[in-house]
Amino acid sequence: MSLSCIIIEDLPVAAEYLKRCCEKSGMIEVVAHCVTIKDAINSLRKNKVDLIFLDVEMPEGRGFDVLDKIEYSSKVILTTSKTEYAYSAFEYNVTDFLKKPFTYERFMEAIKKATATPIEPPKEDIEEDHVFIKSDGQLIRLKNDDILYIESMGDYVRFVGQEKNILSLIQLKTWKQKSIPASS
Amino acid sequence: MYDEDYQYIEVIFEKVLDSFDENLQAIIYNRDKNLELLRKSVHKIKPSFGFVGLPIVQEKCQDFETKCQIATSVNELDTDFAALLKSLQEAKAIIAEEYGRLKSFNQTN
Repeated sequence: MSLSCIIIEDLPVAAEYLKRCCEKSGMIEVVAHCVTIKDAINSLRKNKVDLIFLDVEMPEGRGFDVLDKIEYSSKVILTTSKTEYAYSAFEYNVTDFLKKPFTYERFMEAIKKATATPIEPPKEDIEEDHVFIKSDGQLIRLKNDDILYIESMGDYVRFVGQEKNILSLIQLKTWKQKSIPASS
Repeated sequence: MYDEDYQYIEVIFEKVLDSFDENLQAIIYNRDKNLELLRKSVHKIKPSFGFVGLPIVQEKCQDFETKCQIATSVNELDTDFAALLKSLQEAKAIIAEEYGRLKSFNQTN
C-alpha cells in the first residue's frame, strides 16, 4: 500500500521527525511540507493526498483554518503539543491526534487508524429541514425556512436569516458541494 | 524515538539549535507586545525540548502558556517570565553541549 501525505508544520524539528516516520514506514510519500496556512491551502488545492499531518497552532492562525478553506477527502492527523482540541478534532472528523513528541509506534497506530476506515469527506450536514454552519468556532443549527438568502463574500459565506445573519469562513462553492446532495 | 541512530539524533539536535535563537528572540520580543503573542511564541518553541530529551523544559513552557491564558497583563508574569527565560537559556547550553558530543562521537564512529 502506498499513501501520499502533506505535512503542515512550522517547527522544523517536528517536520523533520514526521518525514522520518513517513520514510521509515515505507508506505507514505511526503508530497509537500508547508510552514504556513497559505502555503498549505495552495498545496492542497494542487495535490490530492491521502493524509494530512496538521499542526494545530500555526503562526497566522489555527491549522483548522486550512480545512475550512479547502475541499478535502484526505484523512487528517493532528500533530500538536496540546490536548485541548478534542471538540474541534471531532468537528473536523479528524482521524487521530499525535502529541509532540511521539514515538514511531504511536505514529504507526495513527496510520493504521487512517487506513482502517474508508476515506470520506467531512460532512456539514443538511438534514431535511435544517443546516449546520460553522461560525466563530461554533457549530450553529439554522432552520432552512429561517434562511432568507445566502451571499458569497470571497472566502466567506453570509447566511441572511429572519432574525440574524451569520458569517461562515467557507467559500460558497465549497459549501454547496458539501451541503447539497448531487441529485438535487 | 530514534532507534539509537546517532547520525539522525545529531540532525535532530542541529534542527533544534538552528531555530532556537530565532524562537527565543520571538519570545523576548513578544514579551513587550501582548499575552497572546507571548503565549504563541512559547508554544512554538515548546515541542523542541521533547525531541531532545528535555521534557521538563517542555512542561515549564506548558505551565507558562497556561499562565498566559489566566493572566490579565504581561506584567503579572514578570517573575515567571524571568524563570522561563533562564530555563530556556540553560536548555540551549545543554542542547549545544550534547550536539557537540554527538558530532564528535559520529565523526569517530
